[in-house]
Amino acid sequence: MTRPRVKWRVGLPLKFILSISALIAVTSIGLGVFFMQHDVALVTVELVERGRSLVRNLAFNGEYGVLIGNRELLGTLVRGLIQQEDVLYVVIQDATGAVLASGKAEQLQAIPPAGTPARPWTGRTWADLATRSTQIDWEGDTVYEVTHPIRTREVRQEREALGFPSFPGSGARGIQRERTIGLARMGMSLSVRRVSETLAGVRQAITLVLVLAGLVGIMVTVLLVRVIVRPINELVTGTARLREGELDHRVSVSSRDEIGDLARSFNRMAHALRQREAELQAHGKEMVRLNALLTEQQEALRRINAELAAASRHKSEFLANMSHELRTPLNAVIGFTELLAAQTYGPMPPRVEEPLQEIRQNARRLMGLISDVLDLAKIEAGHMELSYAEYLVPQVAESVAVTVRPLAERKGLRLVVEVEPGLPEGYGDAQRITQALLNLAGNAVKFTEAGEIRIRACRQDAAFLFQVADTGIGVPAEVLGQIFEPFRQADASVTREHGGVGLGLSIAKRFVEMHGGRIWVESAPGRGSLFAFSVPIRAEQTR
Amino acid sequence: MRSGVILHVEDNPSNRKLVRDLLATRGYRLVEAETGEEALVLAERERPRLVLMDLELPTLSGLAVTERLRAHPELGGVPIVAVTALAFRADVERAKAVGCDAVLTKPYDPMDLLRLVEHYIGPPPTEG
Repeated sequence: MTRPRVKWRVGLPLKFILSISALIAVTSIGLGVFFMQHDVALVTVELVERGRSLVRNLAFNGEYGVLIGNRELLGTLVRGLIQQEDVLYVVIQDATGAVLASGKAEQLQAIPPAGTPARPWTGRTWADLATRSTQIDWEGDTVYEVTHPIRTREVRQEREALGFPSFPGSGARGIQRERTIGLARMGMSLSVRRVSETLAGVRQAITLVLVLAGLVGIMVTVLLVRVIVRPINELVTGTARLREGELDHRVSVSSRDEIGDLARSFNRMAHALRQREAELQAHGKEMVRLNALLTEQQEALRRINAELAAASRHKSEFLANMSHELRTPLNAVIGFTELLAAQTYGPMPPRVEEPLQEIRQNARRLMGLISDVLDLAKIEAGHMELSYAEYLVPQVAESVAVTVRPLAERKGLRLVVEVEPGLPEGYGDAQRITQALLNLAGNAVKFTEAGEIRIRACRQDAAFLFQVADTGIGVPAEVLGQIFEPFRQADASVTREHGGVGLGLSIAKRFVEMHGGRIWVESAPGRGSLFAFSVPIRAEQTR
Repeated sequence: MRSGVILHVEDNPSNRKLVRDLLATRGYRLVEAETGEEALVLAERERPRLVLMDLELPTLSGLAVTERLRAHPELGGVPIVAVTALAFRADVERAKAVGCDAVLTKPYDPMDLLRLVEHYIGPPPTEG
């Protein structure tokens, strides 16, 4: 059996034995003290009673000696008493207090004189008012002094004196008168032999009680061990076995007391633990099953992800291929048109010049379209990356103005560029910001027939604000919300009239948003438009 | 000692003719290769002063040809202008990384091509 390791372990049996022994010892000592006192008191009463009897006899027997003053006779009486082992001293004195005879035991040094301070005797005595008993502390011992007056009887023949005839059988006749003529004193003390005999008896009784109590104690301990310690040990073993995992272990204590309650509670606990473990095992199995399911789903997700990544890769490859496939023939178209226009193949007939211009313009428009579609596709696929660098806003505005001015002038529009002086250096992709502003300005030129195009750049808090205002046809309210979506223009007739598919605004929006900025438009049909965007002065690289 | 020849590597016949006609107007001498392998043979034989390299070639790509030319002990220093329809920024950077001196994106303005040629080998030799 395994027990918890405890230093200075004191088992229950030892505790029982110790406490029962202590109980027995205290009881025995108490009983002993009680009985000793009780027995000694009894012996003392007996002693005093004997003393009273002796002193009464002495007083009676000494009457004659005192009357006649015969000291020799009195000495004989005294000597006879002194021989008694519990008589310490004997004194006979006359009425004046003069000592007529005295004697003392050998161990006594002196007889206590009359009038020595004394306590009244408190023990039980038979009623005898003449005999007095007192206690005297004398020579380190308690002396019980008993005294009795010595009296004599004077009988006067009163009847005779008065002349009455005496009746036959009437006993004492005449008036008796008692007169005290002396005092008999005696000192008594408990003899050592008497006391030790008494105490020996008490000791015997106590020894007997101790032996009996010891036997009872051992029996009680054995009983307690059977009733308490064994079941507890079994419970200790039980808990140890539960700890080792033997959840089916039960204790077999069935007593109808607290220990039994504990054992039953223990068994119920073990049962509950067993059930709990079973539930946990079931849960564990469920967890394993769910884990497997999760792993399976993760695997499926990973497969789908891989497929998506492959699809995305395919899309990129498709875009690259399309770019190549479209650009290569377009290169020949544009190149040869240019060579024709440059009269490389000889002079051109004048009537061919106009169609040749149409070819050139449309080839370039097609080129722009391809570039826009590819740009948008790249942005949406997440392939477009900004190249961040320091840039200057005046350069951006100037670059846009240089590109747009010839187009505007061709349509008779005025182009105004206003850049706030003293703007700080910006950080971002200048090429993309320029393109965004260019797209807005290009649109403005495209949709304005008369008036002016105003390009403004200024600072607004921690951002640059770019604005393009025109005096064009404006945008209807119902399309304002989706004007930055791809392929949106006010209406189909506009598309027909002005050409282009409206990718410029979508691309501008993407570029601005990639810089962490925003783009918006304020417009009403017939009242011109104000397109604007803001980008942080120092754009944060997102990757 | 290099010849005054320009090596044009291009698999598309129309674009080959375009460059041929364009450079003929200025009197530059030109040799043409249709594949990367042919380009390497011609470069070895003709020792060109400039290479116009299409990057998208059927088997041996323009990038690979450029790398080999750059590794060649005698041809390593020849200017190479990549002419490509691949317009992604990464493509341009890759071309520069393998050693192309300039990248011209198709479709290009013929005048831009002429300007680049002049920049690398100077004005054409005068006839006669």
